[in-house]
Amino acid sequence: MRSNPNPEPKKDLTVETRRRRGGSCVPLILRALIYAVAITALVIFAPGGDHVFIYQGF
Amino acid sequence: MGREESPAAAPVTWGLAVLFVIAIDAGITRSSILWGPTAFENTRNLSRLTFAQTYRAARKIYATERGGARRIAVLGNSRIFIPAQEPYVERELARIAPALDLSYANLAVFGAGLGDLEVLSRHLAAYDPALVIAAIACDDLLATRFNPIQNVPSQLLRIGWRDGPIPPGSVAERIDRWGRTVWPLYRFREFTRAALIDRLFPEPDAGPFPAHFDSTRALFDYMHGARGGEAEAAYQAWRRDPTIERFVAYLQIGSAGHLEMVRGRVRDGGLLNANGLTVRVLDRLMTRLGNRRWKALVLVMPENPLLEQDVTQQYHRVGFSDRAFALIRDTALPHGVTVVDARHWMPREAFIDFDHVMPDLSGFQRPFAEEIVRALESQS
Repeated sequence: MRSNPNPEPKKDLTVETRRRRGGSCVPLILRALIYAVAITALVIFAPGGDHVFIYQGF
Repeated sequence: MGREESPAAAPVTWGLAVLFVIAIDAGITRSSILWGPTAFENTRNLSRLTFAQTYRAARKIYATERGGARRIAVLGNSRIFIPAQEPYVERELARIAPALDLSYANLAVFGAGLGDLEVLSRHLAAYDPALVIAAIACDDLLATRFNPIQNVPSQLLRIGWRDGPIPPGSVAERIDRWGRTVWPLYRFREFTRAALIDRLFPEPDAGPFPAHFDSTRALFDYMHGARGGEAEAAYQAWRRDPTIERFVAYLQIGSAGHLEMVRGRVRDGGLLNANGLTVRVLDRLMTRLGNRRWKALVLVMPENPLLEQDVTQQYHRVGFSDRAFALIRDTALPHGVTVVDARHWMPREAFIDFDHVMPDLSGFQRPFAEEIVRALESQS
């Protein structure tokens, strides 16, 4: 059996996996940051929690 | 072949997101984003007043810069909010005890019931006071729809793993309390929302409660606006003829809500019960205040001597005050909490209405400051 004279270069699986998962670490951090901002906004601006009491003491 | 894990669901992404949430949380809840000056905190809108005052109380607890070496915290409702404002009491403390290095915070909120005081007391450790004063009126032992046992402060600032003396109304409420206990941003989310909206869409700032009043006319102008002159004339008519009927006629100008509240409180108040809910809540409050981390006293608030003329018992019940005072004293003393009977401190001319003494003009701050100094000296 003859070997292939022009073998396809081996893929760096780590890089490939990372690319499939969203590229380098930067998008991962960005994604986490977006999640964090969304969670914070949801906590602050979620409906409810408007506590109204009409004071009649005067 | 195993499925590729989606990057959106990867644990590392969520782990990092949690770290970011913690960082953003600290950036908001420990900064001027949440605690900086706002216009809404000075609102004169009665439907937003208690929210604004609860926000200011939280700021004093969680965002006060180190002032005097010894801190004094006051819990209560409008009865102490009005005459024990910081400027009046600080002036008096500086006059009678200039050598004492003190920092004073009035944490009172209009309409606060005993349940609110108990909830606010859960936050006191964060303030680290040397002296805590719970300003309680005998009428606070009556929980009616006119003066509920808990109100806005209990909703906004409830924390703690275990249920308090007033159990939560639902599982959701209990989970909400746990959330507020463990997560500062969640605890202050309503305040954060209001602060952000205030900064984005600022409303006109009414300014803080006045640091000084020259006259009753200035007070009535502040309270009643365009009707200030009318209230002053009716008040002076009562001063010339100091009957309860004249006083009620004066209160009908701009204070009809107060009259309705007092009548309703007397009508719906029921009987005092030593094992009732209000006394159980008071007992829990005293348990926390008497923990010896700080000196604690209960100030039983001044009562209007004019009520002695109320022979028809529309505005008070004969003998109620003494029975309520005995209950407060008997609940506080076993916990090592000092009880100060201030019911007879003020003359009838010092009162704006049946419940409240006048700010600044009444001179309430003088015996009050003396009591503070006496308590601190007994501690050292």
